[in-house]
Amino acid sequence: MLVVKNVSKTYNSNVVLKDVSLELKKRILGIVGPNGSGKSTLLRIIAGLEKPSCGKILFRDKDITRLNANKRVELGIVYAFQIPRPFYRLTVLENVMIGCLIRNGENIRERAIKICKMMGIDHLINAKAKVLSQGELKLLELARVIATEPEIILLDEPFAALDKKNAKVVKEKLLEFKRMNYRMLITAHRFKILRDIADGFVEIKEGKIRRYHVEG
Amino acid sequence: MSKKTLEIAALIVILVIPMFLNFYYLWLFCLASIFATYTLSWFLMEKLCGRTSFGHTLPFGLTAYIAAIAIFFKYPLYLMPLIALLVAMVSATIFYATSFLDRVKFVFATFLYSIVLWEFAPFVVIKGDVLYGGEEGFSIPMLPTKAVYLFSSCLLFVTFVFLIVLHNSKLGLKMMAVRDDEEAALAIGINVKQIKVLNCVFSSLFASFAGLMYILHFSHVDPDIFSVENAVFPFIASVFAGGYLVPVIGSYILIFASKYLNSILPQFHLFLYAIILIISPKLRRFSNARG
Repeated sequence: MLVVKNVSKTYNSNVVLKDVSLELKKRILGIVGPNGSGKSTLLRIIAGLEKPSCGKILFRDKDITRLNANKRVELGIVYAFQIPRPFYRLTVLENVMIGCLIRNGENIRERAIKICKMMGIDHLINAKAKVLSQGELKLLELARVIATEPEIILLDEPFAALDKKNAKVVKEKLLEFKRMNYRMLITAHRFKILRDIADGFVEIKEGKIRRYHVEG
Repeated sequence: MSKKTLEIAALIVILVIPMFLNFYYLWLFCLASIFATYTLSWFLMEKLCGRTSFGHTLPFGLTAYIAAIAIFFKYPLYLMPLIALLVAMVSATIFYATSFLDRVKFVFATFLYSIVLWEFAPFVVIKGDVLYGGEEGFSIPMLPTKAVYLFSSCLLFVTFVFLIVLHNSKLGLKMMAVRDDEEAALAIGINVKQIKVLNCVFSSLFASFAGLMYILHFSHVDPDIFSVENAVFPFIASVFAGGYLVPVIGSYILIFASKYLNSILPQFHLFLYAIILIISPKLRRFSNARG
C-alpha cells in the first residue's frame, strides 16, 4: 500500500537518511531508534512536509514523491506531530472541525463533536487550545488526525513528553485505532512501548535501517 | 439577539446618523467611514492570516493616485472600479510574494513598500497635457459629499458584513488555522498557498476600493497618502481589537481626535499615534488575553 523506495535525505553535508526502503501493508509498523536517527525526518518525508534528496514514495502504486502535504492528506496519509501543534487561538471543536473540512461533507460540527467524544475531550470543546494540558493536547492532535478520515496515520513519537497516566490513555486510543483498522506508522525510542500496538518493527540507526522485523 | 446582529445594527446606526448632520460633520464622517474600511481591509489580513502589514498604503494610495490621474484626464467615472480592481490584483500579488517571508520580516518589507511609494510619488509630474503633481499633489473636480458618503458607507457596510460572514465560514476557519500554524495547517490538508492568495486578494480589494473612495471624497491626492501616518493608521485603530466593530470605532475616534487635535496644535495627533504605538504591545497582550 505504502512503499518507501531508496529514500535519502541530506541537509547541507549532513546525511540524515541513507537509502531507506520499507513497505507498509495491512499492518501497524513501529519505527524504533535513538534520537537523531532519522525517524521523524522519514515520517515528515512520507507526509510531504519535506522533500527527499533522492528516492521515491509510492502510495497504491502511484508515485506521490512530488505531491504536496495537503494533497497527501486528501489521499489519506496524515501526520501527527511529536509535540502537538494545535491552532492555539481556536477552540478544541474548531480544531477538530478543521480536520473534518478536508472531506467537504455536511454536518461538520456534528462529526467533530462525535470525534471529540470518541477521544474523551468532549468536555473541552469550547475551551481554547492554548489552555489545554500536554495530555489533552495529544488527544486533540489525534482527534484532528482522525477527523481527516485517513487511511494511514503517521504518528511521530506519540508518547513523547507524556507522564505515565497520559501515556496510558494515548496507548488505549492507539489500540482503539488498531481495532478500527487504521494503518499506522509509529515512531518511538524503544520497542517496549510499541509492543502491544505494532505488528512489526523497523530499527533505524544513523539514518540507515538496521533491522526489519515484520510478523505474519 | 446574537453579537453579530448587534454589531451590524450598531454599524447601521453609526452610518445613518451623519445623514442628519451638517455638511462639516457629514464630510468628517465620510472620511472616517473610508478610513474604517481601510482599517478593516488591513484587519482582515491581520486577524485572519496573522500578517501585520504596514504596506496597505500600496493598494489604498496607488488606487487613489491612478484613479485621480484617470479622472484628471477625463476618463469616465465608471472605469474607476476597474482601476481599483487592477491595483488590488497587483497589490495582492506583491503581498502574497512577501508572505513567504517570516512574520517579522513581512512587517518590515511591507513598511518598505509604503516608504518607497512615499518617496516615489513626488516624481509623478505629467507635463504632456499638464498634470503638475509633485510634492503638492493635484486636484480633480469635486463630487457631492452626500453621494460620496452614500458609496463609502455602503462600502464600509459590505466590508463589515463580508468579514463577519468570512470569519464564521469554512474558509475563515481555514484562514485562522493558517494564521496559527502554517505547517500544522498544511499537515492537516489545508492548501496554505491558496488560502494566503485569497486572503491577500480580499484584503487588497477592500483597501483599493477605500482608496478610490478617498480620492472621490477629497478630490485631491498628494504623496502623503503613502505616509507613515497612513501606513500605521490601521494598526493604531485596531489596537484594542476584539470583534470587528472595535477597529471601526477606533478609526472613527482617530479621525475625529486627529481633526480636533490638529485645530489646537498642528500635527499634534502624531504625538497621540506615537504614544499608542509605544504602548501597543501591552494593549495587544491585554486584548489577546481577553479574546
